Amino acid sequence: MFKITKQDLIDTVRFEAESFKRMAGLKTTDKYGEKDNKSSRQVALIRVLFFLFIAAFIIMIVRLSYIVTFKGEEYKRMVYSQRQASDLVIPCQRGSIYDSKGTVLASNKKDYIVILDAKQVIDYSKQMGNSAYIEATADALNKYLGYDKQEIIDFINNNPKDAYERISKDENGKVVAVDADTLKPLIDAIATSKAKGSKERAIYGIQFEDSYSRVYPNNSLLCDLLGYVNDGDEGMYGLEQYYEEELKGVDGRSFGYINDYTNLERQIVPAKNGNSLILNVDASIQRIVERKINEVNESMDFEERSGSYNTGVIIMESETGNILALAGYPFYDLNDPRSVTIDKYFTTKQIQDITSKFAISEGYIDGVSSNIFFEEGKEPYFKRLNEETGKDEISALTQEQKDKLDNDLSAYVRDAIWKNFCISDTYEPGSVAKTITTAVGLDSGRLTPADGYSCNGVIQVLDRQIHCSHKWGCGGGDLRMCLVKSCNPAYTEFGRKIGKNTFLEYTKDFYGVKTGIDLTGEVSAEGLVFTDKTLNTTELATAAFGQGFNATMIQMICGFNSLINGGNYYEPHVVNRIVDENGCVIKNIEPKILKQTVSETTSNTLRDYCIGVVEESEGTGKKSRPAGYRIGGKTGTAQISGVGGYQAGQYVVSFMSFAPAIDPQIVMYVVIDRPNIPDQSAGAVNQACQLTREIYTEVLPYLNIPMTEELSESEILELEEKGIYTSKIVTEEEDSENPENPEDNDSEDNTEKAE
Amino acid sequence: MRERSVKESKKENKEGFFSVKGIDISIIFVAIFLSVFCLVFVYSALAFEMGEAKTVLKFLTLKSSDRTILKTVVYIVLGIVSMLVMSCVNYKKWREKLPILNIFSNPMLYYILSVGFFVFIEIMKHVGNDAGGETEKSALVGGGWLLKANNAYRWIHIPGLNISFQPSEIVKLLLIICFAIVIYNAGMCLEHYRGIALYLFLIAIPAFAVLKASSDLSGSLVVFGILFVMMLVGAPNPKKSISTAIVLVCAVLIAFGILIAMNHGKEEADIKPYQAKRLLAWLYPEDYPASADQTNQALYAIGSGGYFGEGIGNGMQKVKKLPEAQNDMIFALICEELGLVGGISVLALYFVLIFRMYMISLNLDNLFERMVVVGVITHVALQVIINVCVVTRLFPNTGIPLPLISSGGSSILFMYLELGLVLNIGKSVERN
Repeated sequence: MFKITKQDLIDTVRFEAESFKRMAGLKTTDKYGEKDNKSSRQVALIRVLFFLFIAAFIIMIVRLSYIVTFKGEEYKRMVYSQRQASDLVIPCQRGSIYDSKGTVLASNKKDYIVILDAKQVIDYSKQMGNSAYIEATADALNKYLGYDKQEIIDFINNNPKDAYERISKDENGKVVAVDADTLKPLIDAIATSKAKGSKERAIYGIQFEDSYSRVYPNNSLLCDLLGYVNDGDEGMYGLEQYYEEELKGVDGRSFGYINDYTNLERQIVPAKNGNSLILNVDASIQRIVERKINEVNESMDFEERSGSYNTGVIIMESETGNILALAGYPFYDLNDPRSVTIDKYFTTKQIQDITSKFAISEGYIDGVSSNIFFEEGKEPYFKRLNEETGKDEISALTQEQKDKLDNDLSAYVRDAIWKNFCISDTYEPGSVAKTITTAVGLDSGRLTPADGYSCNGVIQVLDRQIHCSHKWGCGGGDLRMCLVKSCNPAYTEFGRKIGKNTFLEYTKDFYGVKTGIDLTGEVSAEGLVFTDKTLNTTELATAAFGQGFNATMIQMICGFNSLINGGNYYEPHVVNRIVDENGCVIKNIEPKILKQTVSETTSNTLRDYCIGVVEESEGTGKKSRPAGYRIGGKTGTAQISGVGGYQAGQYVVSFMSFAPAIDPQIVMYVVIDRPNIPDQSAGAVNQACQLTREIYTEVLPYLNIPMTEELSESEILELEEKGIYTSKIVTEEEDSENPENPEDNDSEDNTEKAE
Repeated sequence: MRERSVKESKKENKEGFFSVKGIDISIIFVAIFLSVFCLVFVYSALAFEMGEAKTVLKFLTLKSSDRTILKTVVYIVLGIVSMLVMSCVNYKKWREKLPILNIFSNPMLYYILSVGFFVFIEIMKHVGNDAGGETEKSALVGGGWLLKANNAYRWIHIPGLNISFQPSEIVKLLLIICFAIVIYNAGMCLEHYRGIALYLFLIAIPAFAVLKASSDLSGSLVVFGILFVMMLVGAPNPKKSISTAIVLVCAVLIAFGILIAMNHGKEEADIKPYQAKRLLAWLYPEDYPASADQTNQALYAIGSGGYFGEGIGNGMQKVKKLPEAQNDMIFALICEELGLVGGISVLALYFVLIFRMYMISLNLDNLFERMVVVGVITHVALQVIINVCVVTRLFPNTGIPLPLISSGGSSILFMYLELGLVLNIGKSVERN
């Protein structure tokens, strides 16, 4: 059709050459731009161009508005859903807690959260062109984990783009982790189904996300001291709360994203595990202590309830302030802290007492004269005095009031169980405080060892009579004997002699100040201690023998420890050192002397007096002497004050002691809050002495402290019964070093510890 | 006629080497405002990253995102300064005094320089050892003269100064000037198809060079598009040039059609070249999820922003979801954080910019100057339109920076230089 002649070609080449010359500016004449004939055409073209651009801009704006208006919600959902899908949290491990010998007290268990990846199932089944894969997944979940098959299938079909649905939930819809044992069959099934040559349909879309949960291998051991971890992975009470920042760690993250070559890549920010704690506490000693506490409480089964309200024991290293054991009965299971129920820990009588107390504080009944009455077959009711008729009116509690009381009660019980009796509860220390009064007197020079008092059973202080525990008087004696006999009238007199100002000056180191123990929940009892204003003559008299003010166990033991170790008031430490996940020490917690309370001489004298309490025939604490050892100590029996004064027949009995008598290594404080025995007033303190003795008998050999005393026949029998090996030849020189390794002797605790 | 030229020559004589009279301030303001957007959103896009810290300038230790910001600030300042200098230079006066500057009126200079960059890249690719492994994001190759990033050689690196620049940005400026001169010199040749063919041939060479040397298809299309539009406006016979345009567009569409037809139905991973993948992902985003992901993420970002946005810095998509959020996809980020309102504001700023330049181009007498302004307008408009259309899935995915807002030194600096050129030209426009 087209015929290209030679001439055409020549023309074209010539044209192109000419054009190129012009374009390249090689020909300078006759330029197109210098002619003035194209302006209007070009302006029109520029206008057209401009309107095309405007049109494009308008299209873009319309498109944007369309996306935002009609697709906004959908896209927003996509943003959130994919955020969850690819941004996995890599959980960190909470730091572990070990005792001084390396026994694990708290660690973590790896569990798994089951995740359903609907998108993967759908994609795979699409790829294979067979929707049976959805069924395979649902079947597996149904078979191994008990999910409803149809529900799973529906979920997958309805959420084809959801790649991250946590399906392991409890009844309340809260996501929970499933332990590895439960999941193992499912994991195996998935592996077999995907293996080559498998006849089963491959199971897709089930994934597992790591999750750590706290475990306490020893259940209730050290419960008050350790505290537990709540559902939100926060430490509650005790060490778990106090060292939360050290223990908790930082979760890692894993981002998924599409890189420049459209491959999915992951960027991982690793988790940082929490630091671990190594305690001063020795789990073996703690076990002995807790076993003994349980035994003594089981033995106290007067009336229907069993055991005391609280029993606390602290063992402290005298020269460092390190806590070796700390127990507060009643115990609870750290692995299941919510299992604390009222019935488990309190008797009906106790519950009724507590309920009445709450009814008073809620204002349902008016305290002094009324009480809630519980009778069989009747709703709880209360009586109220009708002032017009002069008779009691009986009215039942409304349902609302009952619910409120129930709530109060369970909250109270939980808190009562979870909190640490040794540091959070205050009580009147009673006669144990006499040691402090004595030391104050001696150190200030207001008392001398020769000061004495002749007791005839009662002393008058202003309008008040103060009785001695011996009804007709203990007879008294010098200062030492007064402490040995624990004579209240004598200390009333000593208090007067010391005088208000000196007494206040010294005791502010002991009472009403926090010791600074590294545990959550320590109270200072500041408001419950005498002050310059309140310390009148009567108060001074009672304060001198430990009544009329409150203190905590930890305050008492730290104070007492300073009295017998030369005056060094140590800050009590539970934790020895903090280490990171690789075991490198991050922080060493060194013993720390907070203050010097009394002089060395005073301390020596007081130690001698305390030995007297145990050794003298009239000593109140003589039942506490363990076989083979000399110890010193001081008993305490204190009335409990409550609404309307001291409560009849309710006492806190205690025994503060140190061992061995010469060069004390450990200090122990035993407090039994309302021992459940028929007559609490007289012999009750023996419960504390007995418990002290039981614990010493096993703990002292365990600590390799040599026996110094001769054993009687019955004592040898007793020790043999307990499995504690003793050499019958006990002489001072030869046996000053412990001949045997007591660890072999001491029951199974030690073998476990040795691991 | 004669009177006017006398008047003009008088005016010229009065002017010095630099003059600021008649500069269109609004263009400067809009440009600076766009740069503010640039800084805010580049920072927003990168701030979350934890890139490794490096010491720059011997005393400043910055993490990688901060280094990018610092670099961007430097380039913006440099750009604004060069724009102002460029706009103030009285080039007629300079030429009068220094006749040697007349060589700048020769188009071959610009042309050879432009093509030279890419010939240089092509040569250096084969020189020296290839230090960069496949996994490395960027590496110096070609004896230290090339910066290889994302498997493409888009940067020339000057070893001693440790500066790299993107020749494809420079050549846009150079070629706009070059072909404005070409049209000024030989516009009459475009009256014939033969002339148009020659012009197309001439503009195809640098466009192809961009594609071949830097594997930058979108950049090469933009270069071709700018020069083609200049021809459309400048050619004496619009009918012929427009029919040429129609033929070209049809050819491109057919080529795309063939690509799609050849590859449709294949597994995503088997599709080659990647342009076909992107075309298919554009048409069937559901079937090619991996290739469509970038655009999808951009759409999610825009949609989730709503009308008023999540607030600056609160966007979620930039975190490992929206690739190149500080660069080609920055418009999606703006829409996510400032909402539809923010997106339209940005478009409005560009509109003002284009409108001011358009007004200048209408009122010019000189063909060369008009062609330059048309070229710059087209450059800005094409990039904005392509960028926003890619982000909103009106076009297949392709990487084009948003002028002045996307991070990137060369593109900001040379865009400012182009604006400076327009401002300079705009001074001669009589406003009333």
